[in-house]
Amino acid sequence: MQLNIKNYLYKNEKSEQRIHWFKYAAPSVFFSLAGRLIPIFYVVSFFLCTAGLYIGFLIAPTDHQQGEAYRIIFFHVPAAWMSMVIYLAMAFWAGVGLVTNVRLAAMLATALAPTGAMFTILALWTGALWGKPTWGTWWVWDARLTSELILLFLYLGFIALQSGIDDSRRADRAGAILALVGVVNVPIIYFSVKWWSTLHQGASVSLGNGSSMASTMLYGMLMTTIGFWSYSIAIIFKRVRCIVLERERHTDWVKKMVLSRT
Amino acid sequence: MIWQSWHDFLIMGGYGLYVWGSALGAFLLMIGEIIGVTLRQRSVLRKLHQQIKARQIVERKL
Repeated sequence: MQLNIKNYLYKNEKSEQRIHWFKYAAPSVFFSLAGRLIPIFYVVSFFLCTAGLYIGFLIAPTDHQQGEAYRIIFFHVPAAWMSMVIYLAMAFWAGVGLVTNVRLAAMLATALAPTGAMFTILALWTGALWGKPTWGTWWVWDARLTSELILLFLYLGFIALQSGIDDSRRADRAGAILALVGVVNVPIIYFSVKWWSTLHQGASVSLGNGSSMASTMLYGMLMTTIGFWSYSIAIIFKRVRCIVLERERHTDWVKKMVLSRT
Repeated sequence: MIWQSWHDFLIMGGYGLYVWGSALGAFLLMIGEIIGVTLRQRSVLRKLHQQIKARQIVERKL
């Protein structure tokens, strides 16, 4: 099928002068790009997490209300934010895959799920460890904790659903519907502390109003957050490359690449 | 450096179990995930390599 590219070039503009973004929808092209980017994101993540935790554990002062227990924040908040951001990305790409039928979008959604589930588990684990000394309980069925637990069930359900369907395109579509239906849970988690009276504290950091936290604590937390984000991109790209190889194994480029590598 | 000694750092004002339990959880989950994906990549490459070689034998290309 000849791709008619002249439709989106300006008058007298040459094709070589434009970046053809859609070439990255081809699994082979994205595979090489992702491969080159993974080490960069790993290195960035390592430095940011190290620096953030250095600030958080060796520079930031003790909290006058919670003592040293507050330091769990440097793991808990980044993990919780990643659990939500990754779900939004997963639902987005699943939706793009559903609407455009681009296989790579669906593969990316599939790759996002395990990392999202991992961060949700980490958020719940660190949250429980923080709750015990400060609230006196490991768990409470308040709005935020419950909706985060539901997020974990959505991730696990997505993974289980896709593993259970043999035809990969049907698995993509079924998973996409689940991901999109579940996306309403993310604003519920986010706004739960505003809409309901919860044991979980309200937002101390917001885009509009700045933060109510000491600056060393804030910087440490933001650095670990971006470090976790960079780690997520690295690991998700690595996983999507595995998925691309598995699903495109009948193509020539995969065969050539596998033979040249091993 | 805000800690007077390694002991203080480890104890974390009495909250050591909770803080280091969280740190350990984060570390294990993230390293575990990296190991998991690395193993998956190796397994995929090995399996595909075997399949391609097997097909080549069948097609008498070897």
